[in-house]
Amino acid sequence: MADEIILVGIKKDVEVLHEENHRKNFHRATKKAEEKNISESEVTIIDTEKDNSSKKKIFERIEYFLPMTVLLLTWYLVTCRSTYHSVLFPSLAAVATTFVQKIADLSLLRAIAISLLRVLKGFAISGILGISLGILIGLSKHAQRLTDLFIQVLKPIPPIAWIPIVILWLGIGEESKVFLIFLGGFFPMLQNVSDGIRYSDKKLTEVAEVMETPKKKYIFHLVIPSALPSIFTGCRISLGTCWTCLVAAELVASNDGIGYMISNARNFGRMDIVIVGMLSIGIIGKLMDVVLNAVEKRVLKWKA
Amino acid sequence: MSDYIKVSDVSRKFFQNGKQLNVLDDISFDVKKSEFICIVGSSGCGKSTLLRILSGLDSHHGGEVDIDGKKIEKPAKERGFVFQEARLFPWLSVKDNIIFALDEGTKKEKEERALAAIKLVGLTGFENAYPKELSGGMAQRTNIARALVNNPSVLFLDEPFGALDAFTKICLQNELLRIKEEENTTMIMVTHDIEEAVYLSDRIIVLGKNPGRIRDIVEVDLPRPRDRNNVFFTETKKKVYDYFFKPVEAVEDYVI
Repeated sequence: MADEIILVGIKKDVEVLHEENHRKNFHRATKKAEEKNISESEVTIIDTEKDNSSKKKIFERIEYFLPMTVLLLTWYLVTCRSTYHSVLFPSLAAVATTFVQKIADLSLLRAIAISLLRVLKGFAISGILGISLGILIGLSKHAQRLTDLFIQVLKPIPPIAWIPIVILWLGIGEESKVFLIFLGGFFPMLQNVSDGIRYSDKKLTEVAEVMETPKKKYIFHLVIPSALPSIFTGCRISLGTCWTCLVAAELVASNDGIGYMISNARNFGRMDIVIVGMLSIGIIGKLMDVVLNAVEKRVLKWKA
Repeated sequence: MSDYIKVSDVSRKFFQNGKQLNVLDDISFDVKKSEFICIVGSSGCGKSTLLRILSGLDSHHGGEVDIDGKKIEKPAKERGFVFQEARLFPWLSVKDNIIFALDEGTKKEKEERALAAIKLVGLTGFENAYPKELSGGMAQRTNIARALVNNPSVLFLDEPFGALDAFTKICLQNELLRIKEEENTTMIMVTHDIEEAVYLSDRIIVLGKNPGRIRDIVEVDLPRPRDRNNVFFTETKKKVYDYFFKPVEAVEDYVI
């Protein structure tokens, strides 16, 4: 009996203890919760997520720049040995020095400005003609049939092949260079625009049919806006090919511009200047694409 | 009341790999003014094709469709069409999508009418949202508003709620009935949802398959607003159901 009473007593004690512990724990928990604002804990969660994504971003950046860095490093390491024949392929240091020097005496910037102006002229003409003719061809089956054979035959002829005849017809002035650049940009523009117009969403054109949309409104407020994405693609490809045709255009008896800088340097065996010219073309081409991309994002912000 | 829409002996053939396919055959029915008709059929029976013929979108058919005494040859503004997908212009806001349907009047008048249509479908507050920012239900409301803004006398609806979830669907069905009440529009709707058909329509056209022929026109003589769980409602539903599915024999146990 006595043992039992003691046992019960102990049991009760244990229960009380448990309860107290429980209460204490609960108290602690609530206190913790009070101390640490809920929003704070949320913030920390978001922070860790941010941390992860920023880590990922850094990794992606590294991934993006790594191959180029490795290439430059290899270039540097291979060409820094004294046994290296620098006429065949200049060292990184020599190219960098020439680059800085060319910027410092403004000759590179002047060449870029002249070439850029030519490219923009050619691109503008190919844009105006390519977009308007592309819209016409996309809209009208007649226009398409009338022009298709011309376009298909002329398109594969590279602008370089035009050089002899262009010099003969337009001389060696500015016109022939702009014309060659225009040729490079025109066909990709035309192709993309006319395709974009022709393959405009049947589902949307049917809506206009049901509404009896007037022809003018149909073209300017439905067909052209719906073709805007492909018009932009056309612009980007066209600007790229215009820029690519630059050297070809400036081979036509030119005495300024980046193409001239390259061909002139070649005559003097200055491979470092040649490479500086090439790299400038590459970097500017990339920058132009970035700019056009940003414009596209702005204009086509309705795109899902 | 005289017949407003008269469909006589409409047929439609398609050619597939040189084989002739009779999609619709011998379709004749009449619709009274401000009636609500549902066309019900299984997929591929030609019900959407029939609606396209009625609206004038499809003109390669036999037979004739007359609306208000005039033969239908091509679509017209006074006959609205609500497509299954919202088909909004993604580069225009909700308001501008609706204004697109309007060709007459000043800019201000157009805007006022568009805002009225937006209010009618209960989208006030989303006038300036772009289609990519809308939910499926909201996009479909915009679609309906765009079809209604020209005050059409007939509205064709091609499975307008087919892609919506059950809750949005019921909500939009009620809105559609409210709009019909307000505007007194004749509505012809294609659907594969039998309950929807019984809930909405005055008459249901049951379409068979291969070739698509009218199997029956079921009168839905139930008072509005309709209760989906009402016995008569269920009975009508079953009647239409039985055209498509064999009645299930209930196995009953008898204990004597």
